[in-house]
Amino acid sequence: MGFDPGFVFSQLINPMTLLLMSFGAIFGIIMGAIPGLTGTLGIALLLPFTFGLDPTSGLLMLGAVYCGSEYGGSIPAILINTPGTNAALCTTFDGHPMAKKGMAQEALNTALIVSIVGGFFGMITLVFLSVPLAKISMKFGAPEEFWLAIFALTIISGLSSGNVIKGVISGFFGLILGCVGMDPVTGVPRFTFGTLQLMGGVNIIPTLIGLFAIPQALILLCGKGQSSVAQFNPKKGVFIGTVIQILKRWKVLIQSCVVGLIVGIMPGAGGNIATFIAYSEAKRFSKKPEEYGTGIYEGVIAPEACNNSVVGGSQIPLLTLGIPGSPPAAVLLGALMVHGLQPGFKLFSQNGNIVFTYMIGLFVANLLILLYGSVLVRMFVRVLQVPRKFIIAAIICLAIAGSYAIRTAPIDVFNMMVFGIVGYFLIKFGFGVAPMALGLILGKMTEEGFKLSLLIGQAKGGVVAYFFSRPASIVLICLTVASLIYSFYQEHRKGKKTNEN
Amino acid sequence: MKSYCKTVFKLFFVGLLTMVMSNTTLADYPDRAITLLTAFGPGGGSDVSHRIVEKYAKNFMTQPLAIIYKPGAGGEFGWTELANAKPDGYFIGGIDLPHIALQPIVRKKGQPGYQTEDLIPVAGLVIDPGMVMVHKDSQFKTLDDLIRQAKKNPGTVTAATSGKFTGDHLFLMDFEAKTGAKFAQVPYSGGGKSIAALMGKQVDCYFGSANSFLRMESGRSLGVSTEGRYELTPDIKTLKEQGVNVVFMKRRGIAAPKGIPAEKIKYLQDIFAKMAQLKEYQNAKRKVGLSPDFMTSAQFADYIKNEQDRAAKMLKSLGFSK
Repeated sequence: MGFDPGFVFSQLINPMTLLLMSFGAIFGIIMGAIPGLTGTLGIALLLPFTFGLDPTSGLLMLGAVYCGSEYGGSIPAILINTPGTNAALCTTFDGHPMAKKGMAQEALNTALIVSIVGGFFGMITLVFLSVPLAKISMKFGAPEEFWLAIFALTIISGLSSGNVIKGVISGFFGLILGCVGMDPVTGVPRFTFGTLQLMGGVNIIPTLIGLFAIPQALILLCGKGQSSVAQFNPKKGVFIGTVIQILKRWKVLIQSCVVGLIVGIMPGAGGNIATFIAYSEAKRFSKKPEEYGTGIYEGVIAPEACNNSVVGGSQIPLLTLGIPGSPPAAVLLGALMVHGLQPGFKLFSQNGNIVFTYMIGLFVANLLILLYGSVLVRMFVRVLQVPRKFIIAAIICLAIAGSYAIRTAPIDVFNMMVFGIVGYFLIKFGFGVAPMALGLILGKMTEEGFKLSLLIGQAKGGVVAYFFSRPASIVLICLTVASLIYSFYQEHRKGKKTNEN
Repeated sequence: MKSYCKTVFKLFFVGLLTMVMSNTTLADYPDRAITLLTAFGPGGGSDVSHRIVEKYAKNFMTQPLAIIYKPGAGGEFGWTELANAKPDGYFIGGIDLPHIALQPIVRKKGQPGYQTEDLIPVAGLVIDPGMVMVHKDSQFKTLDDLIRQAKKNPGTVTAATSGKFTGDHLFLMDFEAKTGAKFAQVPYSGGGKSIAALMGKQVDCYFGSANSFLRMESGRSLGVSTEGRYELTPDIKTLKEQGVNVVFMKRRGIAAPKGIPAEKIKYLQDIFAKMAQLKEYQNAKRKVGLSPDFMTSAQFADYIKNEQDRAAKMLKSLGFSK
């Protein structure tokens, strides 16, 4: 691992590099904050501009976009209950209720600060533990993918507010939607009704935009009373106060960072489900789980710390093995290769200077996000002053533009609108959209993991043994069982309490 | 009624105007950016390949290339979009072989989608031959070891591919047909996942491409499917040298929708031809594990025709198509 600290330092204090990173960070925050425009797209858009730059500053600019977008997604999640990125879905659960309670500034600052902490946590592991963790990540095969998905499905009971049965139905519906399109293993089209558009399955991003953004707009439209989304009451000294509140909840913070890291390093698992796991684990270990969803700090800390620690985690298999752990990391892989850098263990020895400048530079990028973020928060929070009718129009415009932008296909806009209406009724009748979103995200993963394991198991002459005997699988199975038992116990205790009352 | 007539007239006039305007002469072509479609997501092999084209074609073009992504259904979604695009020379796309020859053949009856003939080749750019790979700790030291095991215990040796009815799958089928060995195919979704599976020893071998091998840690190649030694892996024996007569490669190039004027194809082809001469371009391609091998529009068309016949024959003999 050869690198020259002097070179790294001189690169990092280079004003040009700092300027590019600043641009990347702000661009990333904005891309993240607009529903539908994601970090993945942001990095892809800026990639051609790095052609003329040296690899280090080019990569740092893209890395800053990635970090910024993971934070940016929380802004609309908190202010208008519409996640800017998939990774910010869970931030809506408590972030928006906080805003409604008049604590928008606190929520935004919490998201900002824990994003930076999560980012730091991920980067530290990236710098010091890349190689050993990459080797562990390779133990993760098809059966583990399946068991992880099953484990994540048990979270649904924790996600459904109130009625667990309704939550499970909503989740089940999501899983069915995941079956639309080509069978991932045999290539046979299913439920495509002879259309090409459905061959690739229900497109996840426009569906999620529809499920979360449109019902929010419709609910605002139907609501009476106040003229804005939530109250705007600017206060002084919120930043310091928020830091203290976060420090009091350090356990949730660290736990969520670890979850993000672990899920991030698993190749193919993707950061999408990491935040779901982080949120539900925070809730599970809490002494007062019933407070989750009402607008508490923990509910923002968990997903936001997690999604930024995914940034570091997903780059471990990326840099060491050339296998991206998340969609934005996949674009970064492309960027590395276009710049003639071949990811792998050799990258660390041959291009040590570039890699270490990049990894350490991401710390600086996080600091820049903290700096710009704290300024931008003051601007963003003013969204709450905007009359409700404009917010409704803005949400709908952004939802349409965002779903069209993914691959400039009108069908995606249609897709978004259909699920917008579905989502509205799901919320209205108490089914909730979050379990359905989770079901949809997990559908392909569950199926692929299951079918590929079957194929390998059959070839090796023991399907059951293949599913149940691998060490990593056993860990996941135990977690799943524990999670299930715990949910039943929780329900039982809740039932008892209501009976006593 | 009068205003209705007026509207019809107006519309007719607008239509006429657009027709006139879109029929501009070659002298003005191109007067705006040319869209280059990628039928896969950002960051994938196609994307990297196209970004290099974008970077170096700039030197010879008066207008930039604008890359858009249309991922979905293993490329089918994007290529159908390409086939249906306006053939005015402002919309071109990257195509991969044998994918575009295979997909229309295996497509379920009644399912819409492009036909291979709807995509007019502009230029062939790079090749990526097939490769049989194992983990470096694998018990299979040579190609013979692997074939022997797969013959002795058919269906017990697992072989990763990047999906059903992909180039990798075709390569595996060809290999099985020529050797009589029988593998248990494990179709992962994409090359990245297959690489991860082989590195994690989840599968016994991987029927992929040299590009995957060059990106991989701790892999061992048992043979490459080129005619002679492959320029990027000169130390690796070809399958032919080892007595397995399989010659297979993926080829990437650029195509335009059917109906594009011949002179526009010529214009674009010449640009890519000039770009292909650039040393920097060639090295950039080699660095990402692709071997530059330029083909003119006509050569590429012949190649596609051959691939089509070959895929059809193979699938028919195995009972996969009518």
